[in-house]
Amino acid sequence: MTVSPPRVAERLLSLCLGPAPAARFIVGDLRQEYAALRGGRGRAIAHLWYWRQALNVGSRYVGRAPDNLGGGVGDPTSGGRGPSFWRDLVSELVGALRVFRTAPGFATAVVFTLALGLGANATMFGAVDRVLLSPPEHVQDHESLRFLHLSGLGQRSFNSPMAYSFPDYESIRGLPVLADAAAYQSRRRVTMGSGVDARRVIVQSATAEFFPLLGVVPAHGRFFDTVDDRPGAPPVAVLADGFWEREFGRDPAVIGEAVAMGAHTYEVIGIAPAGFTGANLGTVDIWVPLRMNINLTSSWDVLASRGAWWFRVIVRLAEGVSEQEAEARMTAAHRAGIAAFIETGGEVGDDSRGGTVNAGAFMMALGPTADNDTAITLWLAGVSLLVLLIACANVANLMLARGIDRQRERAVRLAFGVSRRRLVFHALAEALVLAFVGGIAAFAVATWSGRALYGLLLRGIPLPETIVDVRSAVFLACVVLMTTVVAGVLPSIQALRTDPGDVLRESRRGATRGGGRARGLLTLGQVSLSTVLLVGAGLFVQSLQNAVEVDLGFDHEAVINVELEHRGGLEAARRDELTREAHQLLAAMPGVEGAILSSSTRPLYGWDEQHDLRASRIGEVPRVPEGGPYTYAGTEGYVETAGLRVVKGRAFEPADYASGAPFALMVSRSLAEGVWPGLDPLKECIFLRHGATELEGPEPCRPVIGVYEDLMVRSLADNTSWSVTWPIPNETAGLRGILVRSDGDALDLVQSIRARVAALSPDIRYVHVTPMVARIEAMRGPWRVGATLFSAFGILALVVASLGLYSVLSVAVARRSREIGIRAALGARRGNLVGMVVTRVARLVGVGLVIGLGAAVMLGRFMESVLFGVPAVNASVFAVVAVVLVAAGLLAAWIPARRATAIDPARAMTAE
Amino acid sequence: MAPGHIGEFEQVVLLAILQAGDEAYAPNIRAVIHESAGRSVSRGALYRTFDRMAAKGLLEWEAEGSNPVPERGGAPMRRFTVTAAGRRALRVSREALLTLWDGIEPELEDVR
Repeated sequence: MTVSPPRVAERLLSLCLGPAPAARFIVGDLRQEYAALRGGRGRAIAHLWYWRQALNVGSRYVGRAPDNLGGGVGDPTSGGRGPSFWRDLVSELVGALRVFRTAPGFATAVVFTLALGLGANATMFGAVDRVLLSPPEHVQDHESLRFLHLSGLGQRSFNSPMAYSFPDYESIRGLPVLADAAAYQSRRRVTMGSGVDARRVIVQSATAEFFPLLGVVPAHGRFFDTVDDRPGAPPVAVLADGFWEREFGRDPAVIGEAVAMGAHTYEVIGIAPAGFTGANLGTVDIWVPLRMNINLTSSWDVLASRGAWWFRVIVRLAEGVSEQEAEARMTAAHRAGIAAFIETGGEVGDDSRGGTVNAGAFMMALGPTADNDTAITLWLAGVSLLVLLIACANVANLMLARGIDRQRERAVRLAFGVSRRRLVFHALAEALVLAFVGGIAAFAVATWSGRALYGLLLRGIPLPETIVDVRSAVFLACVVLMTTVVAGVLPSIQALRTDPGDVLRESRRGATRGGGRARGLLTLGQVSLSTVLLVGAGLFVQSLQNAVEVDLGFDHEAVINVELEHRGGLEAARRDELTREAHQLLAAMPGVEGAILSSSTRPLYGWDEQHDLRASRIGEVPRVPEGGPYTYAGTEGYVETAGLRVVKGRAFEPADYASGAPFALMVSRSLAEGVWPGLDPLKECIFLRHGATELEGPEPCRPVIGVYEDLMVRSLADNTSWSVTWPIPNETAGLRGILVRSDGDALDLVQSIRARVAALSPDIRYVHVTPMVARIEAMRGPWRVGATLFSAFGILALVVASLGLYSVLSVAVARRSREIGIRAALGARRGNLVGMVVTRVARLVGVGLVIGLGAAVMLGRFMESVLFGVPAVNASVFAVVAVVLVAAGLLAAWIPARRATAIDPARAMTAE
Repeated sequence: MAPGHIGEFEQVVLLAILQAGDEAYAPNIRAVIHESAGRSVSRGALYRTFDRMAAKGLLEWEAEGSNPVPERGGAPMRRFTVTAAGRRALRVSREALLTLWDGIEPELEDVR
């Protein structure tokens, strides 16, 4: 069997060889060597080898007249293949590869700029497309899908689509204006398995209508139907593809198997297709039938409740029905449902009457109101667009510079009778080759940065199979081609219109025409845009710095929350017993400094609001608009374990925690100052409950024995945190949470705490271990994202803009070498020559800075709300950015300036 | 360069053709250069050199189509021969070199 080398490479080689008499022999030689190599080293290596040889040999022949006149048996039939246009173009393309050898600096700069600028953008466009512009995978015909929103209902938010009770859903479901309607719940984390092997999975409950409504079909098995989706039906589950792969290694036998989730066991009936995430973008592991599951996991009849606004409703409009018509019908049905409910003696709040049903577009609902990832994506898109502009400007700049540099060369070639078409081809080929290589490099960067993007910033969204989709690839390819080709070919077209003689004479005098102004403007644009990005980076880095340094009011680094999730149906006494055992185990564990029990599952989270506190002198303690007052209670050692900082009075002592001890409590500083301004809080007291119960006797007014620093636990920006803390005895029943203080890094303890506590008893299904630092870190998230994003793109922009500056200056120096030479000959000092280059940088950087800072001031107004403790117009950030840019400018000027001073006057003047 | 004089690489190519004898096909010539002179020459450069030297009349080739090699996909092989002019040029170069070498050999003894 004969083996053939890569056909494209061979065709390319033949084109390059053209009519050369040796062509047939060379092709044959290479074929023969290829066959030998392939037999010995395999196909891939042989292919690679052949490509190299084809390019090597081809580039030597391309564009040259066949100069073999003597000797051989020249075969006249071997030449003249194909239309000469294509042959010219292809041979020029191969010849253009030589740019990497003849102008490596220029070629590298262009490829580098394209790779970084466009690579980053390909990822961003992919993300924008996915998060904002495309429906989730497998959703069919999304134009007729609508998310329902209820408005006019006071507490129910306009924007949140999660405002439906199940009867609300039932009342619109059968309407003829709708092809179908489905209800689902937002995703919840549920424990799967139990004990040491337990893990958390993401579960979504949806009605049986959900899958058919979206138009998705199962990859294996089946989806649940109305038989599965009814109260009391045997529990079934559908697995997501990713989860199936992770947990079961894509074993099809899993269908029919049972999985334990929460307190129940579900039979797996089907697998969703790969990439399907439901109606939204977030990861889901398992879907379960809503009507079946809600009764399984709730102690009351949620499906019948008009107050349980737990559901999202999504509908598909019937064919030919307008949105307005559907809204009107649905609103009428909704109101009728509520009216009927009231008639039968049901009670609803005033805000439930007269609600209006709004049908929000399916894609809009994925849009800006949806979630954090969307906002991040928008920021990313904006920032990367700036980088794209900078990159394009830079590529154009570099290409123009090269074009102008070669003006003389072109003039010489024209003068020697090289055809004009050939000249344009030459420039076009070089641009195409650079665009191609840059495009490939950009693709590599995109793949890599895409992983980073989804891993760091869009963590809630599963990594797509293809990071750069076809649409964004095509878009970027167009941008690359436009930029490189236009900027690469323009100078040579311009050259066609000029008389080569003029160019030669002019360049002899050291003057060159055109381009300087355009290139200056392009560089100016780059500097300005970089300034904007760097200011953004500075503001976010400072915000993050502030967020890291913000004093939370307590020593949170070592604090860990531990909460037990028990097996279903466990008695309260047994739960208490397990909690106590876990507490004792943790208190004695190495690496633990102290452990206490708390009345709350998550002490210090600011979850336990209490609005019926009464204080001495003022009576009812008012509600704090941002939330609170919060109440905390814990067993002996609470103040120390939580790390509260006492600012006045004293902390609880062991005696205060004892059962039957005299009442005492501590309050936060802002509560003390807000409730008793100007008074000594240590002389005041607080009633924890209104009135009194017969059993417990009258509630005493508990004296304040100490004041602690405010705790910032709900948000970093929240600086009034009213709270009250009191001691409780160890024996108290119903204590749920455990607070642990580590004596080292809290994160190191997480695994061992979970393992040890889970091993205590099979009654413990899962152990939730949450270090406080993880919670605080999550709060810092937005600023960390902003700082990472702007810094990365800011540095990228700075590098690219510096390249631009460098190229402008290099060309300027090269073009003025004659002038500089004359000046040097006339006795200009080296310093003056450097000064000339530096003046040019200073002008570009200075003007760019002013424009960029101006833009930053204007954009700052939009940024103010997302910054943390940093004014958007910020002298120190501006100053740092200015210094960085000037430094970058000087660095970019360094080599050109040295080159200028190294010019030998004699040579410069005789060079031409 | 004076007429009749050839460059060093051209000498190498001509000598390699002569060394390869009846097997003086391009891949073999390249292999001889590599093995005997220890020089690795890119194929592109070698082919261009053949063309140039053929144009100068230093070598010539003939197509061998009578005994086709299947791996070549039907393309004929070409066997190179050094022309009389090529042999003359080699002779001139050799003599010039030998003259220059005359009496130098002992001086290089100790750096062998």
